[in-house]
Amino acid sequence: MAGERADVPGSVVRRSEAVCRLRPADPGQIIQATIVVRRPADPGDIDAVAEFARRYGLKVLEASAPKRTVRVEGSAENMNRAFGTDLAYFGDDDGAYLSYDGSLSLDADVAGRVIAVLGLDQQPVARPRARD
Amino acid sequence: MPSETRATIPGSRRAPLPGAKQVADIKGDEIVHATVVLHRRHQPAQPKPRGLQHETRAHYGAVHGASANALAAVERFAHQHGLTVSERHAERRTIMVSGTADAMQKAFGTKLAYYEAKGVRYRGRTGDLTVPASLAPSVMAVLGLDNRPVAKPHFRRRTRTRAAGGQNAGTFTPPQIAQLYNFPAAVNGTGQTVGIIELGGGYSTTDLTNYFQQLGITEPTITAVSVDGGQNQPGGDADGEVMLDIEVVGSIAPGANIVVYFAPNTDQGFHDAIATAANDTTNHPTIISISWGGPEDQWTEQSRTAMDAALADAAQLGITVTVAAGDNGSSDGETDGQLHVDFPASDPNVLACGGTSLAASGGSITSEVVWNEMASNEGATGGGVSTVFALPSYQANAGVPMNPQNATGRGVPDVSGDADPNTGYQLIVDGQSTIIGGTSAVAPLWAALIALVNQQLGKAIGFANPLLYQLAESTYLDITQGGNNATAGQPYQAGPGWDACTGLGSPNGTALISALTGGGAPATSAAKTGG
Repeated sequence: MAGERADVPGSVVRRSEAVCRLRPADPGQIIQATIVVRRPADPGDIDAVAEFARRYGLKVLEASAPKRTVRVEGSAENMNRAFGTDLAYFGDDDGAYLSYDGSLSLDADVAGRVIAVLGLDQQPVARPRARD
Repeated sequence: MPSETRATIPGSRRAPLPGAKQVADIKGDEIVHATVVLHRRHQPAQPKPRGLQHETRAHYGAVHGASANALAAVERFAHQHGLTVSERHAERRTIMVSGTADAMQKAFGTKLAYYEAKGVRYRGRTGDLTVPASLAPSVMAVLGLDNRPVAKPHFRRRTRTRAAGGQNAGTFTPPQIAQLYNFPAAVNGTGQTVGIIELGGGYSTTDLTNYFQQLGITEPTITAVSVDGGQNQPGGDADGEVMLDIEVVGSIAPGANIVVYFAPNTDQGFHDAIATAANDTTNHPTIISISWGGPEDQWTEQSRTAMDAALADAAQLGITVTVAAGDNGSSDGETDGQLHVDFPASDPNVLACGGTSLAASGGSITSEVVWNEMASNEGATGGGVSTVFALPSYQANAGVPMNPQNATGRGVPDVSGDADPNTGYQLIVDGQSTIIGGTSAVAPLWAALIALVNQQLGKAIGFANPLLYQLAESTYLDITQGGNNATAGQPYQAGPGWDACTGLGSPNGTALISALTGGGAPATSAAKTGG
């Protein structure tokens, strides 16, 4: 491994100015993430991504060709190394969630296969559209 | 240390989460991390000058960051109280401190303890925080002492009082709405499976049994599927959403199986729920209903890309995905004065569902207009033009206006249906009879209609947008009155044909099915809408 890295495009998280970085994630904290490969996928994409995850000590929970996903689990420390980031809690006075600053990155040999790494930014994304 | 005058940090008062009970004291030597946020040295001019975004970060930090004196004073204060300063950022106006719980409690004049609410345990505090009076003008907030999870989306339920006609006046059961929209009575969705995505809340089987019994409908088969640890957890704020979705689908297409996919409300949870439903080889849903979303530009690009790919897979697999278009008009609830659409409704692979306000008499529609109650702060249908997704070919002749960046884009919504809570849906939620609306009702309404279509066709219609845009206008109840503008001066108005408030219009069920099964659009027995 030459250590070449590449960013995951579009992985920068938007945050309101009122939200601050509160504290680093506990290095031993167990986190799950979903790595999503491109559409259409190449036959080797899922295996290459699973191999990449194992390279960084992450456990592969599920590798699904139809879903184009590899679900992984590991410590914050290993997640940080695998995805070139520094996981931390962000929040304001209403509470905190796990997230990161800047872009995520991957080893260059898998970067072209991956369209997203989800689960490392855990802020709520959606609201129910019901009204009364 | 001489005793000194202390002052309250404004706005720092905390109450326990609803229903929270104190379950344990904190250990005095537990290490706690907190972030002290300082005030800006200078407030930026209000409103923000247009050129601000072109300022360099360094200059912005120098002008608007925290002053060196304030940073130094807070740092001294932290050291005096035995706290360690781990990071300090003038431009972000933050100082991260850590230390024992005992030291934190003394430094910030509070008492920490462990609380538990609805199975969630967190370290919390009650009341105000204080700091020495000399520091108070510099300190805006101290965050992290209380580590409760981020508040879930707020869901309100209130009892409307009506001048005349009783509580339910002007509202409908879902079967009544299906009848007004001329849904065929000969089919009930038998053989179809509708998947519903939920990012919170849960359903009560007792409430569902009572609801369907009350309507005289055989209860459909309902299955919960857990995605990424999400669970059917009634008692949460989002129960209204879950029950709305199930009760609408289940009472209009009671022959269809319902599978509810529960996932956490994160981009991972949302994506994985869609991917799981689309590839569910046990339940095989051919329709997926989604009534959750957020403003398109609030998502990371990678989450939109991944969601879009999962929705494209669903389309390719022959699955129809119906999505609520949002409940906050042309701004989608953002406060920047600009136009915004909601995602995933703005994804071109879904059927985006907008909202109307519906009035009926004697079993016929007397008026149907764009849902817009923004004047009384009660919501309006989402709708507009995407700044992310290109104009899809099926909308090439729909007359979609330019997006806010003056470029072409995907128009939202595709279709509409009754959504105004004032003309809303009679439901049972958390043991109570209640009335709920929102475009959340329209996604399951169309999902139920597609289940009827699929049964009639004998096969799944799948991603139907290209077909739906080619059908005769008489297939829809064209909505031509009203607009969804959140503030004065915004552009979206209903009119003949497609518009950015109600899309092609509300369904004329029988005509739609007839057109899709090749019989052409027959003369409709449903009332034509007007002003």
